[in-house]
Amino acid sequence: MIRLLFLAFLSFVAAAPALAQRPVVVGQTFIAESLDPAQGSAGWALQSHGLAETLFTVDREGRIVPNLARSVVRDGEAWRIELRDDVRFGDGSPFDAAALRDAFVRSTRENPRARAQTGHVEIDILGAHAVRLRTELPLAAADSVLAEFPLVVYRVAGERFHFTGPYRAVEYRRGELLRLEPNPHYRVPAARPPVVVRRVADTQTLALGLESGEIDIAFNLAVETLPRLARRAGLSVKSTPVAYQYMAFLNTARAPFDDVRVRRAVDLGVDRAQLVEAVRGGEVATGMYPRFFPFATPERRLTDPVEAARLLDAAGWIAGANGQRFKDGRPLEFVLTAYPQRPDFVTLAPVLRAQLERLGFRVRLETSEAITPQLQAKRFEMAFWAMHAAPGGDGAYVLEQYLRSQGPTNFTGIADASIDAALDRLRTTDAPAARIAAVRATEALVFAQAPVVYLMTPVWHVGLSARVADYVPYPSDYYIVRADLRARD
Amino acid sequence: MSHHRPSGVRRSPALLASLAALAAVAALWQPYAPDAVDLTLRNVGMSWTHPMGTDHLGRDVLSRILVGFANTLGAVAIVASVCIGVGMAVGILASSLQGFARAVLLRTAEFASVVPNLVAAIAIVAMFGNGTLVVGLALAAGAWGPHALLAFGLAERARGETYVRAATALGAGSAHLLRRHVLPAILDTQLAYLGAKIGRIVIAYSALAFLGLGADSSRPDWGAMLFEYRLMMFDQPTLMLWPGLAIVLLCVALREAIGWDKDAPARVSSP
Amino acid sequence: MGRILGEVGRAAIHLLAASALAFFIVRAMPGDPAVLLLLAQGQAADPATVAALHAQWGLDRSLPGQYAAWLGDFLAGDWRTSFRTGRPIFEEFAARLPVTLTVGFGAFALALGVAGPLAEAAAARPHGWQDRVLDAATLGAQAVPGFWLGCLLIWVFAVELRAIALFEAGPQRYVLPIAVVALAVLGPLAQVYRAGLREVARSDYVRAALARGAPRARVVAQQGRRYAALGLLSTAAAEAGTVVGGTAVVETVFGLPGIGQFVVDSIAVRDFFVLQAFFMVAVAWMLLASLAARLARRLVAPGGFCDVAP
Repeated sequence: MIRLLFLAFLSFVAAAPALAQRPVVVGQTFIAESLDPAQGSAGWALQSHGLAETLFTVDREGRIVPNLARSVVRDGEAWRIELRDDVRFGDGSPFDAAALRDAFVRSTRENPRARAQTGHVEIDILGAHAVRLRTELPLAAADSVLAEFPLVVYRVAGERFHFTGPYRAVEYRRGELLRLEPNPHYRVPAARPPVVVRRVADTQTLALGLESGEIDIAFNLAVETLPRLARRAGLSVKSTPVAYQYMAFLNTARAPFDDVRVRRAVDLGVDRAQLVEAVRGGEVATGMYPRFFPFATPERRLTDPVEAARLLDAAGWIAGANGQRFKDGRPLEFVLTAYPQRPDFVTLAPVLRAQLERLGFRVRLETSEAITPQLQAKRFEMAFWAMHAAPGGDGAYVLEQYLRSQGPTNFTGIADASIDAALDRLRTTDAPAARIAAVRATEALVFAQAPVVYLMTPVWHVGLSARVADYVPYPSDYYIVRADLRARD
Repeated sequence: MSHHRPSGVRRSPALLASLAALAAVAALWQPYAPDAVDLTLRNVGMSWTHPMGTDHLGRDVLSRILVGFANTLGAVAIVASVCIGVGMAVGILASSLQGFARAVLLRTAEFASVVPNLVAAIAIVAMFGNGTLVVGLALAAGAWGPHALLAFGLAERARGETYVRAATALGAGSAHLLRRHVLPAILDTQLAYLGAKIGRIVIAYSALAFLGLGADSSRPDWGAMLFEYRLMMFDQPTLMLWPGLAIVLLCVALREAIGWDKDAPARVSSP
Repeated sequence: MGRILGEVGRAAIHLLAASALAFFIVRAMPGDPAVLLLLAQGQAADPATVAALHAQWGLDRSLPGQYAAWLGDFLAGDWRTSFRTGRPIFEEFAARLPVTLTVGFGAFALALGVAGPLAEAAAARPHGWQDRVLDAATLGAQAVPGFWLGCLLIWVFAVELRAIALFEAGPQRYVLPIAVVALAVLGPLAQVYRAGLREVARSDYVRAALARGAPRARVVAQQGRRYAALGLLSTAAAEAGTVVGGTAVVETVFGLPGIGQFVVDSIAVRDFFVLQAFFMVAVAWMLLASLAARLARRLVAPGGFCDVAP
């Protein structure tokens, strides 16, 4: 950090004549589908491109911190938000209460996703930089909802959208590239290089582009390409754990996973260290959340094949001569489903299969190109899944979605009264320390039922050219182009 | 367009039989379990114990190639049977019918020829899962069209041939005619045409597997292997070489076994 | 006049069948586009949001009703909007088709340029080395995966030689993709051209010319070209599919924003109207190609093959 500041200072002092500086080229697999933040998930991509910002944000440690807002406090049924007064949009116009109202009302009106958590919103202007926010749906943790991407701040001017982030858009070619220049009105002035964000769909091409000198920041390289890049002078690779947790869902409505003992046996039979080794990087899972989140369960999940075997014996699955387990003449078998969109799972599937076959399971693998519909229709037995474990920096969201009885994405079919009661308590818990404890307590109940086998936290490998060797990736793909981006030119 | 009987097409039933036998053996026996992961044996080069080396998870590449061979040959057999069976049935039926029924059959065959094959196959696989059988049928869905049109043209010509007309005049039944004169000639040409395009069927099957839509991924497939190993193409080039070479060799072997008419492409006019 | 009406009628029947097939195949694929889209973007797929999206896209009506409405709109030029990008599909296609067509036609032109001389040399000397090279090349080119060749070319020309900028806009972006696709279609084109030449070589006319003592190669080349071009037209029509859909892999490797890549992305999220429109465009394209081939045949050889005589 000191070094970064020093560099910033240096580049500031040495404010060279403004030559047309070579842009820093960021290669990544996705690009905003629109510059209108009310379109689908565009807000999320616009944040990662360094254009749009939210009132609150998730910092490097996974904590929710004020960003464009100074504070948010409960005000009866509503919330009172104080805004910063030193923020301007890219066109120079000030960001104030009226601008916030226009943005939020438009987003929640036009984007069903912005409505998903808040419903329709009403905003009363209390002062130039203070508002009262009333939402149709009750909010437990307003700061985490205000950190969610559908509620980025923007200003509409005719056909154009203006944002408050460190960069502004110069040229946009859908699905191809986004050309950015530093936003001169950004609240922290610095000598930032121009940027080009380029969509590169194929991961091999991304590595080749980095090697050919046409890409400076290659976001998320495949691990298989790293040895080659390591041999090339001038390139470096930084690996960072990300908030996309890898797990496997068990279908609790189907044999053999309708028996909690079999589910717990699977959980105990997985050797997570070996999974990490297979994809050459990452951390073993402690639960639903990567360990850098404050509410993550600290203890590692146990691997204990002996206890797993005991549980399977108790459940009536008896090992035959070749180790394969049977019950009433039926073999203990299931299908494990992976999907090609996450190449790591294609690598992990055979490893996981080998581990469970040692316990006496017989495992068939399949790759499903459309995993989600299969999960929804409960047409699976064990299926890989990866998701952002805390999109708004709060742990309750994913538990509500995936583990509450009848939750919108309750794929495992788990319906457990104790888990539901714990989630109800979470809804009314406000104090941060109490929330952390409540999330961990809920996790413990989930472990006992074992509808999900938590596997590992992957790392992302970010390739860097010599120009941007000081770039430090964030542990998520929310923030790729950031205010602290500098180029050594 | 004149349709000769293909001249000088050599077939090798023995080669075909040995390919089938080899595939049967490959499906049942491999030196190692093709999915046995051993992280201590990653990327081992060629040796006596692992003739093709091991991959990034320590799996024996030869064992995976063998299983892929059985899958590929199975799928290709399905596509070939549908092409020849359905193609000939529809073509000959259309030639024996008149008016609307004939038109419907021919339009259907033409339509099958113009449907974008890969997209249709992807959709079908998405609907019915991805077993070898389904993938074979998905690939055959459009591939039978040209065969039907070819069979139709040949049947029409055969009806006009002098010896057939003579036989009819002598009172031979049409079933007998079909069996004795028309069918063998048509089958001959169909096989020669199939031989000319069999390579493309193998490639199409691999392409589907490459897109992650191939057979059950617990059974390695050449296309899927290419896909899986593509990221190591510069570090471990042999990993991609083996499935690639296997595809080429199978194409050559099948073409020689079925026999192929170098001039077949010129005989099949598009719809 | 009757012929033209017949052609138009045939095309109309094909397109109608294609529209029905496209609609029902796409709808029969498992997966709900609303849910897929929500989950792809890390959003809650709660029933209310899903229902809202369905209503917004008109998926809450009966299937036959949806089909009729869609077909009517489609024919009227309203191709609906993409679920995934939220933009009119017609615009999306208009922006992407030129990229794909550039690769496709460029590849065809290049392949024809190479296939012609190669096939003539092969036909002139059956079982000569050119003949064998052609056989081998056909097979080899088909069996070499496009992505592998693409990556290799990038590595050689962009990384090691730094001769080509991978992502620079401009005509040079198309050089490598065209080369890769050309190799894939080279084999079939050369084969069919050779087959046509051989057919001519076996004809009575050429036998007569040879009997008069004309050199074989020249006779075959001169007389055969016109006839062989006919076969080539048919094959080009059959291979036309490559131009509108077979380039997805190459587009992915070279990062070209073409239609193939777009459709593959659309399949993953079940973008119904995009897939239906693509199916229609692809079938229309194939029909157009085969119609063009048939017309060209009539122009080149109004009465059939006998016209080869000068």
